Amino acid sequence: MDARARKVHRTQATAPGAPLLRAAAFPIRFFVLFAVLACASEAVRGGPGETAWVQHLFLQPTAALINALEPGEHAVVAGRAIASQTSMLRVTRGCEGTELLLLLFGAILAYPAGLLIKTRGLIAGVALAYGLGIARLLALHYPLSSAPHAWEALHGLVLPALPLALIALYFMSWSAAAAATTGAHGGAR
Amino acid sequence: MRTAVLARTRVAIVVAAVLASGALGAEHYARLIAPYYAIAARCIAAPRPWTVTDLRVVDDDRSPGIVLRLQGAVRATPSDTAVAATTVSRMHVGAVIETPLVLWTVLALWPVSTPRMRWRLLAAGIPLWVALEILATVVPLLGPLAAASAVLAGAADPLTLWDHWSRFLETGGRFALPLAAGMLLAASARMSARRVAGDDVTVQQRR
Repeated sequence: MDARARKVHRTQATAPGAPLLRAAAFPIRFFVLFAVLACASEAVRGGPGETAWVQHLFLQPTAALINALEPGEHAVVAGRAIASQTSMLRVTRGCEGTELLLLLFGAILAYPAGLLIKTRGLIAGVALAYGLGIARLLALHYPLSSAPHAWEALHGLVLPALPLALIALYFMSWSAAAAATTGAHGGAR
Repeated sequence: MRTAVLARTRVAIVVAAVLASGALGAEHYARLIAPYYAIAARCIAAPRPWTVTDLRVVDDDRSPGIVLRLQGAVRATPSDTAVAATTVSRMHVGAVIETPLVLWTVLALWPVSTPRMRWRLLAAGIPLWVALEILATVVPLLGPLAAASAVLAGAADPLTLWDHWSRFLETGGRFALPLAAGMLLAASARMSARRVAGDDVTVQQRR
């Protein structure tokens, strides 16, 4: 056993908590990264950049889709709301889809994979999260005008949690593929 | 590959079932656990100039739906008897059930080798669930009392740490917190199970 190998052996022997730390590394990294991203998102909230981000990327495409599906609705963006003939959907914190992106970024960046694999995962994931964000706003608009009691269940739990579950399934697929790719390349991380 | 697809299908089915049961049972869950929230809120309020006068599940008077409503009174100082401000905070019952649903789904789906390990993991999840309920539901409901105290103390910006925490939860923390906590618990349970298994092997070898 050479000197380096002895050192590694000694380190492993004297660190009984090391496997636990390795096993706990992903959830800790995920939560810390998510918290940092959430704080950064909160710091810019309400500013002109954030308002433009929400209006141009989420609200206007949703209003355009509503008008395309039902031209009689005359949906328009008013501040952080989508106003139509039948309803007024106020898009507050957590409803616009930003948290899906934050959770996705936190999970993919925390996962031990190569930079290229992470970049691919983020590109596809951001597209999915964006589509889910728009779909959620559409799904919130229709019950608000037609079925207010169904809107409660949808708004309170199903529509926040269903996109998250789909993002989680995407992450499971991506991480399985990333682990397979990393294993095929000799564990290069 | 087939195993991975089966695992994802199982996750998708369980998640769909959990969402459906959550949507149907959110109000019942909130009614069931409201007394615990009330006790926890009163314990947190006790050393402060706050009084939790009422905490219950009610029909929301401002929007369609059912909410968990906390009514509170704030005094200028803990020794004061006169109420200086009253607050009302609300949380939709759907939001109330989000954190426990995510936590128990993670613990129920986390891969373990034996049913005994699953039961141990679920049992270990109980204290975590009790703590997360306070962090994810009780603390945000108490936020307006902290804001009222800050206003009464003359703070120019009544945005308190309680408000920052509530905003963090609304920005996705309500999901990230139980996800990370559940995964952390599952990882530590797995490691302790391995350590126990290792100890067993050592004992057998000694024999």
